Amino acid sequence: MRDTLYLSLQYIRHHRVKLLVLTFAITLVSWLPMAIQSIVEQTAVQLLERAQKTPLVIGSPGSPLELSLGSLYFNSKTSSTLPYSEISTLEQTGYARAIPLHYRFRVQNYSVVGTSPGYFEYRALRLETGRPVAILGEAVIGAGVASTMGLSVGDHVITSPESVFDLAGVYPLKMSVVGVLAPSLSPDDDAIFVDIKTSWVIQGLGHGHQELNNHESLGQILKREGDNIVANASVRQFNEVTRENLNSFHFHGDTANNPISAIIPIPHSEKSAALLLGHYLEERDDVQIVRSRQIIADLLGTVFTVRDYIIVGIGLIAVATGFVALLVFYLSLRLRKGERYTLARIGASNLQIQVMMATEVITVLLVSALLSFCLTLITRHYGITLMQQLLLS
Amino acid sequence: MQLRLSTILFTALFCGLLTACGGDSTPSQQERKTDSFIVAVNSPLQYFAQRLIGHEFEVRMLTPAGTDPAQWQPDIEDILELQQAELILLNGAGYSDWLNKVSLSESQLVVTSVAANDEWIQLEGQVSHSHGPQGEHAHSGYAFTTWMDMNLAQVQAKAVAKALQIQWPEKQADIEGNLASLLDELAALDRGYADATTSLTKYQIVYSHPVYQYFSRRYGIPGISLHWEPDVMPSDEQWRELGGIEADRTLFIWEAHPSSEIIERMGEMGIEFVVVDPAANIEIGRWISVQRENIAKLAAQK
Repeated sequence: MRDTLYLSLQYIRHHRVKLLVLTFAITLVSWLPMAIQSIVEQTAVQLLERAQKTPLVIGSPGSPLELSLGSLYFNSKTSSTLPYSEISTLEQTGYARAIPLHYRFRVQNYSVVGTSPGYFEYRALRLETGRPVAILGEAVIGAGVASTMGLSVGDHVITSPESVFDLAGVYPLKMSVVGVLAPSLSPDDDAIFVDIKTSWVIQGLGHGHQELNNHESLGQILKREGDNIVANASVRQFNEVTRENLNSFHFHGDTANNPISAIIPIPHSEKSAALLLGHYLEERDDVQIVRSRQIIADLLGTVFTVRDYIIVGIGLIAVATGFVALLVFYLSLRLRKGERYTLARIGASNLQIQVMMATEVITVLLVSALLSFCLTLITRHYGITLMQQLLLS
Repeated sequence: MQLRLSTILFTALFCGLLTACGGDSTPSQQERKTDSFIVAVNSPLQYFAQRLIGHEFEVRMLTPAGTDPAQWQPDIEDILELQQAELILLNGAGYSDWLNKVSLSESQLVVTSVAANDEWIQLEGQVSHSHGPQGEHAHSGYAFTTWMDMNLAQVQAKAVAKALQIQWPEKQADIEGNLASLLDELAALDRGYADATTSLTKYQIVYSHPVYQYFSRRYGIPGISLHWEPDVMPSDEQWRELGGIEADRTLFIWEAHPSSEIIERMGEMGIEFVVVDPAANIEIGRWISVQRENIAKLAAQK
């Protein structure tokens, strides 16, 4: 038997390129449907899990999908906003607590999420190191941000300008990292959390600047009209909040009118949730309330349909590949007719010859199955992460 | 990669164990019940809240003794403690100017005087400024010692009661009963101040600090506000300013008892004085007795 196997292996070694191509093709067509199935299912689980934990979101009228994706995954380009006063309006209904979200700005590829301390309790986010955000200009970063950007407590992040050509626009704010969240395997890992008021400072709705009512600022004063001081553009505005300049930061106008991207309502009970839904659906047309679970389920329905089409397509390719493999094996056996004759002449039994012929097919199928199995395992564990990194890059 | 795989497996196992062990009440929920506390930004609100909720819950004031809560700025430790509070009772009218610089949840905040915000007194002479495209804006605006108008104090007590009832609905009846007795006492203080101040019209009133605006308006005793500290001897210029006030009889109203040197100098100038303590930061439980003492001292001016 050893001599039979030896000859079989020699055959495989001699025809390695042909067999490698064949193995690769069979591996690919058997792995791809499983990979797509696995990634789509994992994505669906992640998306639905987030949506199930946050069944309702409130935002300005517009696309419900955009609102859901923005408030759950901080993935939205929309600029539509609500006034901050909607938070107290919602809480005054007595049906729910309200968590504000402001996700317009970014640091490189990561969303800067302005919110309140209640968000961390709501999502059960735990700090790995550091402490929660306490004052303006402080940030707590997700585990993904920390590992990718190599940041830790004490480092700084700087907001990215929305447009490089907007020279008169919002200046970047340098924010100090005071905490790093433990991994949560959720979009929170890839977010930078700040207080909602810090988002307003980034937006230019609040600022800190040098004291104008003293002798040092005489050069910057254009005129004094009663109690009003008009200063020129050389007034130094702070692009970083420090303990020293914190008290100089202030907001223009009533902060109740400042913008937020969305609100996560946390109903006190199921009955409160139903009443809240009814209240917003029937009495408010300037604000929309969205059942995010339904929206995400609808989105996933579309994704599943696309997945099914892709799997059918790959299935057809697999069948075609199967036929091609059969043809290759058939032609190979025909080509090896002389080899079988020679083997018989030198005394090989029929069983030995059949084993040698079958080894080619069995090896290709076994190796393909093994590779496909390993790739599927890798896909299950790292597929989502790899896909995300691929998409981000 | 191995580390990541092991982390994921460990997390999954840990989550599974948590789910398997999870009952109806988690330890954190039980702890929260016993760890619940309320923060008030000044003594009147602390007093109101403690009277209303009873001693089952702690009502904290983070301002250290001897510090004016209106001037107090929380440090990071204070802010982290504030974040843990079930409710933060705010005075309103711009009393806690640190509020826009710290991170707190809106659901924690109770602005107790907001129902009477049309009665807030706008301060004059506040500097506003303009620079850049945002236009003119001012940095402060209202007088904030609202509770020295006992009518506004009642509004604040009602706001505290409402917030407590929403937070702890099971204690609704107790709070309602406690509110009724508290409002009776505040109404009695209101009458007491009104009676005690009727005879003060013969005086030119001088207030040591601009913190008596609501008191002055409610009880009809307008006066001149200075910036004198009871334990700091005023400068000659400040004495000249006081001496320049033309009146037959002048009554100087202090926030706290002045030093003997100041009393002596005032005596030489024929200026009477009385202490009306707003009691913004005193030991819990003493607020109402201090108000009664204020009334007694004012009544003694007859």
